[in-house]
Amino acid sequence: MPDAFLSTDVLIAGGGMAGLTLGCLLGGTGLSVLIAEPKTPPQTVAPGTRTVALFGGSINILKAAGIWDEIAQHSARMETMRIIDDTGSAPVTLSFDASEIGEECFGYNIPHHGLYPALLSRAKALKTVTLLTGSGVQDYQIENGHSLATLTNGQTIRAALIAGADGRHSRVREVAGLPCRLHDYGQRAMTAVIAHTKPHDHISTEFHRPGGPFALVPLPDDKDNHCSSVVWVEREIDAKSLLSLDPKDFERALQERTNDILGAIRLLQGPDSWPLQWSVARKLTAPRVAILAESAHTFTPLGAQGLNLSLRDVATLAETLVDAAKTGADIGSALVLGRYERRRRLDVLTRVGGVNAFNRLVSNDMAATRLMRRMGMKTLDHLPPLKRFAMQRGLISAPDEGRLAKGSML
Amino acid sequence: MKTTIDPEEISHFAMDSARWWEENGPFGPLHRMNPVRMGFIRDEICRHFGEKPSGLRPLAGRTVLDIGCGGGLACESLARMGAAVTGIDADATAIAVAIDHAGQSGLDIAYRHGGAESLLPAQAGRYDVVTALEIVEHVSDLDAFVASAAALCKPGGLLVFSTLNQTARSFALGIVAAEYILRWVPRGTHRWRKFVRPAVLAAAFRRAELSSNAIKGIVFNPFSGEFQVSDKDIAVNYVMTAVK
Repeated sequence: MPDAFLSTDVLIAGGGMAGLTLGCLLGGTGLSVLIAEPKTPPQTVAPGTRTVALFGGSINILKAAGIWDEIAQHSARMETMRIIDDTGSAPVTLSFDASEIGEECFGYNIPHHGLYPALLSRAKALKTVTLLTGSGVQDYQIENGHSLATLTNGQTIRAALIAGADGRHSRVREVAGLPCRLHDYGQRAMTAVIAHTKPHDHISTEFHRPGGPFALVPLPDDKDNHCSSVVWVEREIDAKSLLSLDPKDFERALQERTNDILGAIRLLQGPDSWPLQWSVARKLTAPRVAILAESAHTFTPLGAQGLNLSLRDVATLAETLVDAAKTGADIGSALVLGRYERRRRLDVLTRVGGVNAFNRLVSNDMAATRLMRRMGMKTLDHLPPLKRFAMQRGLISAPDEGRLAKGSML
Repeated sequence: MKTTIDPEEISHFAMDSARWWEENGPFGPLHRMNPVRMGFIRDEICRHFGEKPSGLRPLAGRTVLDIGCGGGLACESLARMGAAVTGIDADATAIAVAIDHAGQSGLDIAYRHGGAESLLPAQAGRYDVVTALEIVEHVSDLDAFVASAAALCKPGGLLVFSTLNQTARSFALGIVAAEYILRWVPRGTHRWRKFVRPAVLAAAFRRAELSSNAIKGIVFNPFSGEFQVSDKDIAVNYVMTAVK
């Protein structure tokens, strides 16, 4: 090979959460990994409003990636999931407690400024991982036995496989010709970090309202306050007017929205906001290409399914590639990619479909749907086995979850 | 030494040799069978030499000869697992394809054109492991072939043979289904009368003064669409190992 080429087993397009986690998992196995991230990461990540609620399987994946110990200190346990249907005159509350399924907690709420630097420094510490920043994957072509990718800085990378973790506007997905259209929900998500006078008691609360869900998720206390993160979804037009309020008025609107369950609140960070969109790729692989995470699916933060689903993509891809490499297989071959496709397709399609159906249901104002929903929630609360089942489907298990999510190593 | 090459077999394979690496081409079933076959061979090699398979290069330091290597499917897997691999095949086109593909894959594999006997006596006793995968059902003289393979193996080394059993099921699956119904492989790829029963292979091993070791079946699971190792079912595809 000419020296102008950099060669690697796996080229990961995108150094976000998914790309870095994949790099950290594969980097520990002996496969060579090159991560190409278009942005230059800042030296330090300032505390912000972005947090991720990760359930048990996802935590196991972060443990396998070797970063859990570092982020545990930034994270708050979610022991109870409380759902409040706030559409009628009297709110209906449904609580799920982790002890009902024999667990200490469902998962953890982790601030982005705790998770991202941990992934970044772990990836940098691994000898088999090369992190290229300031340059993303621009194009690629398939040759016999490998792919040749061109980065935005003109560099050429030779790889057995390209993993497209380059986000909802994935360039890899586009070059691969995998159709995936973005749809607008007509809703906007607002995020904030708040201090409050009452402790959250490790309860994560999701209010369901016609405009969209409103969630209060525990954060670790800081030295003076109890803290939580807020995810607030409203119709685009209502969100715009809320965001135009001055901070004191926004705080007041937030206070009202919380039904005072956390006492008096104070805005610490935010609000930030972005329009909600959903998309799902019908196919996750093309010759020498696998797409994952937001390149393959995006949807509403309702139920915090997004990054959990993405981490299952990451774990399954890592498992599939390492198992193949252990038999000396070409990890970019159609056979290996077909295995990833088969293991992930059902989970991706059912989650996106399910979350969208649920979003339509809870964001719906029609009296009949509302009545059904309220009855459904009540019925669910009085049938423990059914409730457990619902909890497990929504919060814990997934079809063919894989060994990493179950707590084993690669 | 007498040749074990069947010219009719070679000309049959040569028709499709350029397509060795098409995963859905005429050699598709071999591509699908390869991972499970390689996993089994890796474990057997490590076990035989008293090592635990770990990491991605568990065969590092081992010399392996693959007889009847075709386009190099097994050779490339063995080389990725760390072995120093030599591949030999009587089909010149297949060897040209194998050399070309190893270059594209960035793998260093020594390929030779000819029959196993052509490496003798120069390379007698040189290899830790000799493999003959999906090949004995195509040779003209099984005893002579096994004798050559044995001669090329180091004393104390391991031989791994895989082939198709001669049963009613192997006729139904290996010929009727694979060649006529599913059209996985071209018609005429196999002749059932040349399939080799385990007892016949074991007898050939004995005559070559090899001691038979493990035997496992490789079965197709129609639900997952993949092959898997079976302890019991050796009625269609099987792998047999022997120690020199």
